Formats: sequence, C-alpha cells, structure tokens
Amino acid sequence: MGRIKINNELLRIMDDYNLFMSSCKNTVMPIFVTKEKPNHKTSLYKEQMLVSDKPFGDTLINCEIRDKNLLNYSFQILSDRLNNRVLARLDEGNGVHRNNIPDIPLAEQVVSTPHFHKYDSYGRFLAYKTDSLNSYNEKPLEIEEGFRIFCEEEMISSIDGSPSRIEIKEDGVLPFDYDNDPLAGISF
Amino acid sequence: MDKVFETITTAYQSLWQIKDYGKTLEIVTPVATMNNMFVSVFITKRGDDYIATDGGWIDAGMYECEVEWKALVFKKIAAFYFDELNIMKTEAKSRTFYYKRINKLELLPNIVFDLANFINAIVSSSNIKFTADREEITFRKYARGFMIREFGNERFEYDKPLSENYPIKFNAIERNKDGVKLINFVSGSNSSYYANSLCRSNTNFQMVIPLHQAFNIKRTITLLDDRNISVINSPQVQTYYNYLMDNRTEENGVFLWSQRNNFANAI
Repeated sequence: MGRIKINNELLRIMDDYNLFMSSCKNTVMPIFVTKEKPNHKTSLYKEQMLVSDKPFGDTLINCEIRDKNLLNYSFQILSDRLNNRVLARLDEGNGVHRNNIPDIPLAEQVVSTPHFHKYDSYGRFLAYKTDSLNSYNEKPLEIEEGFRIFCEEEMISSIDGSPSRIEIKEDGVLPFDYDNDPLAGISF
Repeated sequence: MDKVFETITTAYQSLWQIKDYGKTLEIVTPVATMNNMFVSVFITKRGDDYIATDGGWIDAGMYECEVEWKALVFKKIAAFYFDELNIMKTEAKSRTFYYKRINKLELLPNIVFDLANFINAIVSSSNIKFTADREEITFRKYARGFMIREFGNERFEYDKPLSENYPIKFNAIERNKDGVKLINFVSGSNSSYYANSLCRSNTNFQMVIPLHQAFNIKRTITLLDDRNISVINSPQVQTYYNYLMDNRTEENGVFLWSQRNNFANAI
C-alpha cells in the first residue's frame, strides 16, 4: 500500500499514449447521461466512443455520477489497449488522496478534489491540479463546468462542431431537484 | 533547532482543506488512514446544534476499504472506539452515518477531533487481516477438487514447498522429467483478503525466479477466482492484478476460474 506503482505495460507504448493524449479527440455531443450503471445501481453512467486521428486502440469517454449526486462524479478516457483501461480522469466529490511518496514533503502530499489523473513519463498515474481547477478548492465544481474543463484539458470536442455539453436526466424520473447539501434530509 | 517547530506546524496547517456545500461544510483533516486517504468530517446544523459526521463515507466505501463489522475481533475494536469516543449513528439513504452533536461553537473542534480519530481508527483497522479468509480456503478446495477430477491423484502435489531447502509453498506442483510446474490459486471474500492472496502468490513466484534453472521450473500459473468481479476490480486488488498481467507470458500463465477448462488444457 502507499507506493505509487508503475504501469510497465504503458511504458512500452508510451509514445503512442502521448500522441493520442495530445491529439484532438471527438465525440457526439451533448453527452446524455440517463441510465443507472448496470452493476452499480446507485450511480448514473454513460460511455460512448471517442475518436482521434492518432488512435490508441478502441477509445471511449465515460461519465459516472455516484449516488446520483451531481457533485460527486468522474469523467474518464478509456482504451482497450491497456489492461486497466483508464488513460485519464477528472474526479470531484470523492475522498482526498495522499500521495504517500517518502521524498515528497507532507504538505505537498495532499491532492484535493477536483483533480485530474494522468500517466507521467515514468508510467505513474498521478493526481494533479491545473489552474482551472485551483479555483474550485473550497467550493464544489458543478458537473456541467467540470465537463467543459475536462474537455478543455483532454482536447475533446464535438464531432459536428457543436458546443461540448453534458445533459443529465435519469430515465423515467423528474428533473433533478438540485440540492448541493450532501446531508440534506438526514435527521441526526 | 529554531525552525523545527515552525516547519512541522506549517506543514500540518497546510493539510487542512475545506469544501463549502452551502448548508454543509466538508473539512478535510490532517489525519490520514493507513490506506492513504485523508479523513473528511462534514459539519452541518440541526436546530441550534452543530453536527460533525463522517457523511456516510465509511459505509459508502469512500475510504476504499470494506469494514467487516460482524467479524468477532473487529467487532471488539469498533465497539471500543465507538464507546470511548461516544459516537452516535443514524441510518439514512441506505447507509449508516456516524456523528456527534454539540451546541456550543467553541466545543465544535472537540467533536471534529473525535470523529476524525474514530474514522481513522475504523478505516485503518479494517485493513488488518484478523483471521484467515474462509473464502480463500474454500476456493483452494474447489480448485484442488477440479484438478484431481481432471488429472487424477498422482500428477500434482498440493500445498507443498518447492524443496526442503526452499520452503516456499505453492498450491500445486508438478514434477516430471520435462520439468517443474508451479500453480497458485488466488481468492478472497473482500478486496483486502483478495489483494493479500494475490500479492502472496506474485511474491512467491517472484522469489523463485533465480531458481528456475536449478529446479528446472518450466511454467508458473496463477488461477484467479473471478466469481466476484467487483473484488478484482477494487483499487486494492488492481495494483497486484496489473503487476500480474504486466508479467504474463507463455511460461507465466494467468487463468480465470470461470474459464478453468482453458486452464486444464494449458497444463
């Protein structure tokens, strides 16, 4: 536990990974998130094809909204070229990880949410923040804006030039009654 | 020694984070669990009282661990911390919320302190293997039974060491004129146990790499129990699973229990 592991499988195809990650990628927009995750009914989930002119296997973009809470979500880029599939991610609303690397001073071991994850040149899937995310340390990043920031960072745009957008509406359920408070309705 | 106190307190100070949800505040504390997550305490108000709570995160699995509340030893640990720290609990949204309440603002830090310690104690202890996992023992029986049905009693020896001088045990060993085959069975009823089982198997195979020539070891095979996919997909297991898959070759095979016929054909 603790040590950041190295993805050797990825190291071997690092050049292709980098080419893909720095390429322009496209998907159908808006992304409609309407269904429960099959083996995880408390989450809403959508995955769909992501294409690039520098392909890296079959690639997908996905969105998971945990607990159907619009402030607790992740966006991911996946590929079948890697065993554990995830190439990059944006997380918001879940726990704060500790980058428990002995050489890093304690204060720098905190990676708060929201944060991105990506592989570095040593094959380590590191969590990091960008300027666009730093302003969301103290207030949560809402999912529509989170999606825009994700698309900007990962160079994802619409296949037909329309705006990069996400729409969440659970099938058969009235539109989300938007309450930021994670403890709403709980009697203590 | 001048700068010592300042260096330490400044570092601790920077670990505090806050997330404002309007009526609720998430306070990320400087307390970190043994599986490397900082503890979050949620603060809200009910009437005139302040509530400090884990936000249901322990039960929701947000600390990436499974808490076996029913295991005898763990029950005692949990009860101890629960009582010592005077924690209360309530059920909502199909999970348990652990909390304390206080009326005076100047006493709010006290209950935050208690909650942070409680959450850390529970999450960190849940990473300890208190008993051998029944699931692993049962899977070993199934795997062995399968192999005996396929290959008879004579072909493999089970749960024996490589040799007297190298007491590293493998779940199944075949020794014949063509060489030695080593097989391990991996299982576990939760991600902690499964990760442990897989780690042990990976390590044992690694340890005999320098002995391949001396013992004429031709193949190593890992047979994974995949009846509960969510356990394999958990972060704890994925670390060791990825290592296993990265090092997979013709001679170092990996098979799933659900495809045990392929496993049988391969050997």
